[in-house]
Amino acid sequence: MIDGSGLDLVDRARAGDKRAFEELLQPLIAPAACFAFGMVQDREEAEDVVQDAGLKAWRRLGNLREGAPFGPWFFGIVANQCRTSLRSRWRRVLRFGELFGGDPVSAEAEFLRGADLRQALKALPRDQRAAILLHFYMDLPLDQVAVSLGISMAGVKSRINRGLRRLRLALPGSEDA
Amino acid sequence: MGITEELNQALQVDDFPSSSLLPRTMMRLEESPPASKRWQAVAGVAAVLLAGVVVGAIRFAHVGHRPVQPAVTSQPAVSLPSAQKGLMSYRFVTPQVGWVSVFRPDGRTVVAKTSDGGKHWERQFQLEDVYPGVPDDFLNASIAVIGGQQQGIPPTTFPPALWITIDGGAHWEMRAAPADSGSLLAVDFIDAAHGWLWMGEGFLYQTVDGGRHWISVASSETTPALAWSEVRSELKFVSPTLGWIINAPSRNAGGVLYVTRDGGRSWGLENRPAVGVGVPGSRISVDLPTFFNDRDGIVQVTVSSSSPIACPSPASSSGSTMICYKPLGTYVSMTGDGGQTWSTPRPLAVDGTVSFIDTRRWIARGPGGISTTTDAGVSWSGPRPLPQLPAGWGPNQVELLDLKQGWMSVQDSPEGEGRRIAIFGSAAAGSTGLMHIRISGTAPRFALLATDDGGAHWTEVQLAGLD
Repeated sequence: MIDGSGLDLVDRARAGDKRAFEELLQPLIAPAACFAFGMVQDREEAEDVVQDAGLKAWRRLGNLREGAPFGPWFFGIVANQCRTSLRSRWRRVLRFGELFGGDPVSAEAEFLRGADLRQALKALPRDQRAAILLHFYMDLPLDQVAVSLGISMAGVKSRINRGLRRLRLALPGSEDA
Repeated sequence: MGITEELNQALQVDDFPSSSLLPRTMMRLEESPPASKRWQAVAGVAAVLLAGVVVGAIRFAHVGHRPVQPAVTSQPAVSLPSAQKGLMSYRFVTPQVGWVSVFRPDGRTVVAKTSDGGKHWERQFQLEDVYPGVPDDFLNASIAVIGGQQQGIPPTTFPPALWITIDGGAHWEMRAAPADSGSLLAVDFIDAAHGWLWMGEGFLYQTVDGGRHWISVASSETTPALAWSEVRSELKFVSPTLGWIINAPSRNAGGVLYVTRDGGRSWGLENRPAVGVGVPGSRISVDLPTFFNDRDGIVQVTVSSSSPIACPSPASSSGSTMICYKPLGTYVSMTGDGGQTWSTPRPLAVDGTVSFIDTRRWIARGPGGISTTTDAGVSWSGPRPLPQLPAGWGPNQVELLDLKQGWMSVQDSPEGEGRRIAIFGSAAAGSTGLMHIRISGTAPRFALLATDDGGAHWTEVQLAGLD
């Protein structure tokens, strides 16, 4: 269960107290990184995402509704940052004149080594992936997932159901939660 | 085992996150207090840029990055005083009229237009706190479509949206994408009224009134072509009924082409342009067709090894995840009846990325420079070397309206800042080319060059006025 609802800390952080912000962030940083890893499936990128999310949270603390818990709000930022990260990779294509020979690269084997579930997760639309990870992996209750993703409870349930349905198709042997 | 346990097992990573993550995160915070609300919108976007994340046009398969080894050139060096950061896309629709969109480090998306071949640019439009979401769709001198995601926290507070002009940029109107359908994957308009929107939740929408209303015409639940892909999602319609989609089911798979003949309601796999190419097990990637009217079109197909090969340095020394394939050939297949039939794919005898002016005049930009053909690839001119660029710069997107008039974007590579590089192999038959997809974290600087003699000489286009 994610718990980051220290209102005193929020007030102090809003006033520019970095120490208070660090205390807010401390219990969330590892779960946020794990969640980000589930989303982007790259450990370096996941840590980058969390750093970016931390910076964004710091700058936007004024947007946190009075009395609202910090944790789900921060996870929303992490989810947003994951999406931005995935969508924003700067991809360019070029052909150039050098033939590279050699043996199959080990990075490829590493890339493909991931479990079926990871592959299936990657194939899910981001919104469904985020809802499933926040609920089943981060143990966030549905209402907090809704806060994190900025959607209704019905929207969360719909995403989870659709995502699980896809996972079941991709992983015939899997069971429901 | 339930889903929670399975997730815990599947996503378990040793020593993750690193113990320094919190201190590193804290070091990123400014000394100043959190920004006031008034400045948060812009600051938030800028923060992302400062954090090393660039929102870019990720679907521009024709745009390149700096090669590992610069092309041999005998042309004089060009200086690039107009270089700036954040090119999203550009297109010249006539020799005089061109569009460019730039995502600024301060978070603004700026769209500018030239009516004198790039001598002067006039800002047409500016968005703040909107992440560009899809490649811009510059149809002609009048119609342009910009797509983006408004930034809100929580993240899905604001749906993706399009901004459309039909009067050359004088007026722009926002058109919200359908709610609860995910992020923008691709958008394509064929005129001011007819357009399609492919959304991340796997829905395809159609509009017949310039985006005021969107009708769901298909979804990935029943149409695999529309399944969301992180790698490649491209969409192109050539008429209200005939359209094409490229989807890549995984990073290792090539592009798969699908066609619709009923405005997007049903989609079928179109593999005829790739029939017979490659060898069993090779990686085959089909591009979107280029159509010159509603009948004549060309598809380019690239073939590479199915097994990755060792990746080159210096890219391999950056700690990035890379996948490299051995190039095996590039083929073209043509249609003269709107895609009802396709010619037998034939290999091209040149290296590089090929663009098609019409059914006979093609241009290839390869490692040796630019080659042209006027007989549909039967014979090619010797390559004209590309201009000598400053260290760290490389050619990017080349656009030629004809065999004389053209433009080329060039950009630098923020060495050391890019974190992810994926390299996919592909090349013309017998060539030594490779197709690279670089995924990096920092916006490169760019500049535009122009030629009016088919690439014999290039001069920098002044970009003053973009702000």
